[in-house]
Formats: sequence, structure tokens, C-alpha cells
Amino acid sequence: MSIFLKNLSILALSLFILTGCHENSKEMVDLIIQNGNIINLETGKIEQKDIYISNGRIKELGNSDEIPLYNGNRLINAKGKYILPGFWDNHVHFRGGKNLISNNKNFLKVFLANGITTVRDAGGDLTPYVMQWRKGISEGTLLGPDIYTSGPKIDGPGATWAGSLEVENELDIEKALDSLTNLKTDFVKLYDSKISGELYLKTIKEAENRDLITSGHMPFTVNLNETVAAGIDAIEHLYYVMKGCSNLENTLTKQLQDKTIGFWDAMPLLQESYEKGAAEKTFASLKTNNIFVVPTLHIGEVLSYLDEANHTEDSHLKYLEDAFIKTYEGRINGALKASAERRRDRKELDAFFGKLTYDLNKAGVGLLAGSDCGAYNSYVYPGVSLHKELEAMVRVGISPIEALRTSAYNGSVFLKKDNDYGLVVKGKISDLVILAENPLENISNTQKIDFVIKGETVFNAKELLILLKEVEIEKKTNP
Amino acid sequence: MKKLFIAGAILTFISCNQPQDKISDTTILISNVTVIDVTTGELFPDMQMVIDSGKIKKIVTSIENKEIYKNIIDGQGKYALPGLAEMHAHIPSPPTSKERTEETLFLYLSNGITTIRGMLGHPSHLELRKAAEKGELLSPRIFTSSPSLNGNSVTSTQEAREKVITYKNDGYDFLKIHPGIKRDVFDELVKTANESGITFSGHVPVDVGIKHALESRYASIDHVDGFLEGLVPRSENINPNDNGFFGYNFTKMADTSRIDELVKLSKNNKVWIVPTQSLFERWFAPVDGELLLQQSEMKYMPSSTLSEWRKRKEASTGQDTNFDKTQWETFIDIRRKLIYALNKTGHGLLLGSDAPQLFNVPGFSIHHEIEGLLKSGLSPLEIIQTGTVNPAIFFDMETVFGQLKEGMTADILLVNSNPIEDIHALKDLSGVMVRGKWISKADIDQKLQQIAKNASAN
Repeated sequence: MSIFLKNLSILALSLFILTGCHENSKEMVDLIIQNGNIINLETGKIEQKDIYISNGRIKELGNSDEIPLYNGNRLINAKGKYILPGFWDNHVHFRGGKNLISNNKNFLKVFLANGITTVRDAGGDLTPYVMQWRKGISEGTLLGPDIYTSGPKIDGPGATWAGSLEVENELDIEKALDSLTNLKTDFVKLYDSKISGELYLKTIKEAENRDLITSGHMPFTVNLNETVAAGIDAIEHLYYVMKGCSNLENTLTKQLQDKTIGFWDAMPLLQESYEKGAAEKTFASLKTNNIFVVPTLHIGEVLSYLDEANHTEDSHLKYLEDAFIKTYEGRINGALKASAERRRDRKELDAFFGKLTYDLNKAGVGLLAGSDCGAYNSYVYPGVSLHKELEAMVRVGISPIEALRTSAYNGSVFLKKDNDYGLVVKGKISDLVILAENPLENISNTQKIDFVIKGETVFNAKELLILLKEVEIEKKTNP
Repeated sequence: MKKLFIAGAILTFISCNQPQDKISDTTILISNVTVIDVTTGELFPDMQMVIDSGKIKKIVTSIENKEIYKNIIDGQGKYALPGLAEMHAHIPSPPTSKERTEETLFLYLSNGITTIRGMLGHPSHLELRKAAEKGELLSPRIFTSSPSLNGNSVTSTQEAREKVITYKNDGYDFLKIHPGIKRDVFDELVKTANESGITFSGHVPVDVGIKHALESRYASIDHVDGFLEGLVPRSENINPNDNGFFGYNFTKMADTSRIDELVKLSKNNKVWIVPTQSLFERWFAPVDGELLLQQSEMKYMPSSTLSEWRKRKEASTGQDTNFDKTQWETFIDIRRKLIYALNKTGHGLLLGSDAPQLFNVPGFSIHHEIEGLLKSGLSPLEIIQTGTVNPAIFFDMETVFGQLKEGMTADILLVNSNPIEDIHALKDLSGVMVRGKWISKADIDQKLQQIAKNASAN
């Protein structure tokens, strides 16, 4: 006790004399995370270590049972918790036109609140803003994940998506790539709505010549092995991989070139003609060429069941403005208008893609977890959809550690950023999540987030909730 | 039905006789003793307790080949209960000599205290804790607070963060909160403590207030600090800084019908309370200091300490102060009501007297604290629980100490009569075992004599 009446100053003085000044000679770091179980995404091993973080990087790892190496400005006791690199959503879109700029910007906080510390923007019509946000985030004036962006997509004349660079001839290829280089984008994203097969392949080759990273859809008039040969680095979605696994690929490609069948007509045919030998050959070629595949299973499922599922009560709608939700209508109407047969085909395709993803993974093809969230992609909500993607991967038979690897680890390898990201080891950027429970036991535990560390910034569970609260859209309730 | 349940409890409590294990030279048998289950107050007469390697190996009804035991303590007619915890202890710091420090630790042991929670930490206590743990020092089990966090030692949020983290890394068991901390600094302190995994205990700074303190989840609030102030209705328009000695100045304005609300808040937030009522029944009480100084235990304190106590009592309850016997009677009545309610319907109490604060001789003062709890209306069993099983729960070490069970640490208090019937039995001990080491009454007396001799020389 010792405190008597109000004479605190005298008391405190006597306490100092009693206890002496506390000299602290240890070097200070910004943050120490003690006793956590660190998940190594490379080996799948879990090790208890103390993490010392300074200036946004992991300065050192220390043994938890030894005397702390440094003193810290913040200390997190992560005993019983699980630590892994912050999640990467390897396929998002910032888009929807000028009306949706602020709503898109809000998603930056939603990503962080979901433990996503890096997103790969696979193209949209808000590139100048994305570049501005990216700058703000790196300078610490804006909260959000690191953004790697393709900038505008490359497509053909009259492209589906607003803001695309339209390639109609070989000169356009040079112009488009020059323009992306000037914008300082991080990779080249190709789309398949209007570009010719020939120019598509040439664009990939030219981009590879310039040492750019490429990813894309693929016009169905092209064979997968041609795209692989052109040097593509990642294939977005599974349609194109499926095409490469068909023993009728050449025949069907011819029919597609002749326009006797269309894209969706080809789906059930490709599915039926899936052949083990062809598939194995394709898998081997993807693997040998270090080509990543982005399965986007979750969005596949959501879109395949748009005609049945009721999303009106989804809690994540609260982060979307009405104008944003309006962009969902196109796909919804499409689904509702589709024939019963086409709807059934779509669901079968969805199941088939699950199996294909399992086979790809088993064959050792690198996968990337990407949600494809963004305007127009109905009910695939920014943030949570990455976790749904991981769940979907595990549901088709991929192990939790392999699923986790497809996020930050593979994501950073694909973008050649693995010197900075992907593992909790000395020297890497300190983008981390601390989970309350082990995601290797249950992949849904990736959603039990206690802390997110984004470089030098720490968010505890309460602060994460505040981030979300800040971007909740106030809906006018109808009287 | 009830009998059946009890029979079941006995079965789990007492294991069956098993073939004899090998007996080592260090094995101790406490024979024919009545074992007290402090969780229920049940007695188990005529038990054989086998102690080895610091642990309770067995508690059985009968034992074969008694003659092979080289160390037998005759428990006939005696009662065994877990050693007590002094949850508001002070461990001496330099410049107190090593000898006096060790003597102080023995004073705790000599009264059956096998666990202490030091409430004003010093780097030297970390060494003592380690030495006690390793068995290199005859001492109760030690938990130690950090050095004081108070209005002068933490003046900014940054300082709060730095100190909390430093103390956590230094290895202190918890943080000690003293008065004077500003609310925003306190909040940063709490946040940092929660994140870094260290608890905090002690006083309630005026700027924080009892409600916010409870909601901030102190591990323990000591001295029942802040509660009396919390009973004063807002309409009284008091200046919170005029509270005086633990709210004494607000005595007349306290509304005891508000006790339930505070008690409920402490229960909901799982905050333990350490009353240190001994201070309010002796030091801050209408009791003649000279009479207290004549008590036999005072001989274990250096005379310089005793004269300091005399002076300080005079300064707080003497002629020239605002101390008033009638007001004290109301004051102590409110405190007793609070203590009773906090035990009955709150999260619970921890036994702690605050030694060696005024007139509290380490170890011996626990009996004055017990007396204070008795006057507050607690039963002997409830009092014993505040010093045994409650502290074990508090430290999340229920399987390590706080009860007499096979596998638990051999911290045992052996007394000559049944303390459940009369709590004063705790003063009449036949010996203490600390982590398996037996200290007989004769050993205690001999050592106490030496301590008294050393104290008088200072």
C-alpha cells in the first residue's frame, strides 16, 4: 500500500528511492510478438518463436524460452495463437466507373480487416485512382493492403470491360505495352472478349520479350499449348485449362474459329471430352513452365447458383453502396434468363472445376488463391471472399497448408516479390496475421483473426472492427 | 442422494491401496492425520500422506510396511490443510540485507504461508523467485509485481507502453498500479498489458474510478480501493481528490444500497479483491498504537521500523488529524459490508494483509487479516478458501497448489485442532511443509528466536 492521504509526490519519490531507476540498455524495436505458433508455408511446420519487428520488416526471430533479445514499443503475447504471412487475394478488381470510386476505396479497409495485406488487381477502369491509393498506402497516409495491379486489361476492339486497351494490330501491341510500362503496372492482364487469337499470342510473346509478367484468360480460338508456348505466366480461371485437358481440343477449337459453336456451347463438350492423358500432359507442361493457375472456385460456385441462392440477407452487403449492388444485376438476370439446360450445365461445370483443381494441385501445378471480387461479380464480397476461396479449395480435397500456400506464398512468387513476402522469416516485410486457432486444423480458422500487422501498423481485433465500422454504408430504411 | 454424492467424492479423493512403491530416503509419511478438503470443508480422518520429491504422492486410508519409512511425521490428532497464501506481501529490497530478506521470507513460512505475492517489485525479487523455485532458498513460492506504476512513474501513454513492455520482458508476474495515473495513460497501460499478456493489480487511481477500473478487468483490486468512493451518489458533487484515506472522507456520503451494483460489476468482470482489512482494524483504527507495539510478534521487527510505525500512526489517527471514532465506525462497517458482499456474490476474495505495512509483521499479520474477515461475516471455511484454493485459481495453478491432492505440490500446514470449527486453530501449528520440506514447530521456534535477536540488534 504505502499511499497515504494525498501526498503522492513524496510517496512516489520514496518509491523511486526504494526501487531505483530502471535502466534499460536493450535496443528498442517497434513490435515484439511473443510465444506465437509460426506456420511455415513452405514446410507446413509450426514452430514457437518470438518475432521482432522494426521499420516494417522482421528484424529477428528469437526463441520463446530465452530472454528477449530486444525491448519493444508494442508487445503482443501470441501464446496459443497462430501466425502466418498476411493473406494475399490474388485476383480482385477495382472498377465500376467514377460513381464507385469511394466505395472501391473503402474496400481497402475491408481487405485489411480480413487479414488481406496484399491484393493483386487484375484490371479495371480506375487505374489512376488505384495508383494514387497505392502511393498513399506505401507512404503511410492511407490504410490498405499493398496493391499490385495490371492497370487496364488488354483486349480487342469494342472490349467488354471499360478501360481496356484495345489491340487491333501489331502496332497496338507495342502501344499498349508501352502504355502499361509508363503506368508502372506490375503485370499484363489479357482478356478474351474481342482480341484475335493471333494478336493474343503475339501480345504475350512481346510482353515476355520485355520481361513483363503476364496472366490472362484465353480466346477459345487458341489452343492452350500455344498460350503456354507463347510464355504466359498465369492462367486466370479454369475454362482455359479445361480446354487443354480435352482430347477434342483441336476439333472444338476449329468449330469455335468457324463460329459453329460458342464459348458456353463448348463447355459441356470440353467437359465430356476430358481425357486423363491429355490432362496429364497439360498439367506437366504447366508445371514445367512454372505457370500458375487461378481457380477462382468460390466465384464459380456463387455464379453457378445465382438462380437458387438468396443473397438478400448477406451481411457483407452493408459495405456496398446501392450503385455498387446494381452492378450485380447483369449476371443475376443472365442466370435467371438462362435455359434450364444451361443452368444445369453451369452447376455440373462447377463440380467439374472442383475436381480439376484437385487434380492440378496433385500434379504439382502452382495455384493462386484469388476471389475475383469487385463490381459486376455478384455476391463475391471483398475481403471475406478470399477466405471462401480457401475454404472451397479445402472442400475439393486440397490440404489446408497447400491452400494457404496459394495465397501469400505463391502470390509473391508469381509476382517475383518473394524476397519480401511469403514467409515469416528474418528480413521479410512484416505483413502478418495472428489467428486465434490453427488454420491447418480447420481452414475456416483463417477468419478468426486476432491481429493484423501491416508493415509498421498493428490492428487488434477491436481496431479491425473499427476499420469495418468506418466503411459500413448507412442504408436508408424504407418507412 | 446427497450421501451418495459424498461417497463418490471420497472415492475420487482417496485412491485405492496399491502395491508398495520403492521408498527413497527422502520420502516422508504423515501418518494418521485428518485431511481437510478446503473446497468443501469435509474432513477425512486417519489418512496416510506420502510425500516425495516435493509432491504429494499418495493420500490413502492405510499403508503397508509403515516401518520402511525413515521419515514419519505423526499426524495423530492433527489437521492437515494446504499452506496459506499471503496475497499482499512485500518482499524486502536493497538496501535491506540478504540476511534480513531471508528472515522475512521465513517469517511468512513460520505462520504457515507457503505462497506470497510481492506487491512492490524489484529486480532482486526475480532472483529470489528463481532461487525459491529451485529450492536453493527456504521461502514461500514467490510471485512478484513489477516496480510501481503510478502518477509519477508513468506520465504519458508512451511511457506506459514502454514500462509495461519492459516489465513484461523483465519477467515480472504482473504490474502494480499505484495512485495518480491519468485515465488516458491508464487505458494505454491496460491495452498494452492485455496485448502483451501481463495482468495488473493494486490501487484504483482517482482519475480512473472504480467502475472503469472494474470494467478494465484488474486481476485484483487491493485494499478494496475505490469502492467506498463508488458508493457516493453523483448528486453529492464531491471532488474525487478529496477522498482521504481509502474514501474515509466520503464516509458520510456513501450510499450502501449501491454496494450490490459494484459487487455485480466486479463479478461480471472477474475481478478478485484483496481486502487488507488488517490495516483498517489496527493502523487506521481507534486502537492505541502502544498496545499494538506490545504484541509479542513485534519483536521480529527492527526497532527502527517500530518507531516509524508509531510515528506514522500518530500522523494518521492522532490528535492533530481529522480521524474520528464515530466516523471510523461507519467507515469500517461499510468496508465490512463490502467485503462480505464481495465474497458472497462478487468474484471472490484473496487473503492478503499487506505486510510489513504498519503493525503488520510478515506472516503474523495474516491472523489479523483473518480476524478482519471474520468480523466481516465470513465463515472459517470461506476464510481458508481465500488463502488456499482462491489464490490457486487466481494464478491459474489449481492443479499445482491450493488443495491437498495426489500429484499436487506438498505445501502443507499441520495444525493441532480443527480450523473449520475455530479459525484460530491456524495459529497453533505443529509444522509447515513447503514444497516437500518439513519445518517442525521446534525448528520454527528456534529460528524465530534468532530472528528476534537479530531484530533487536538493529
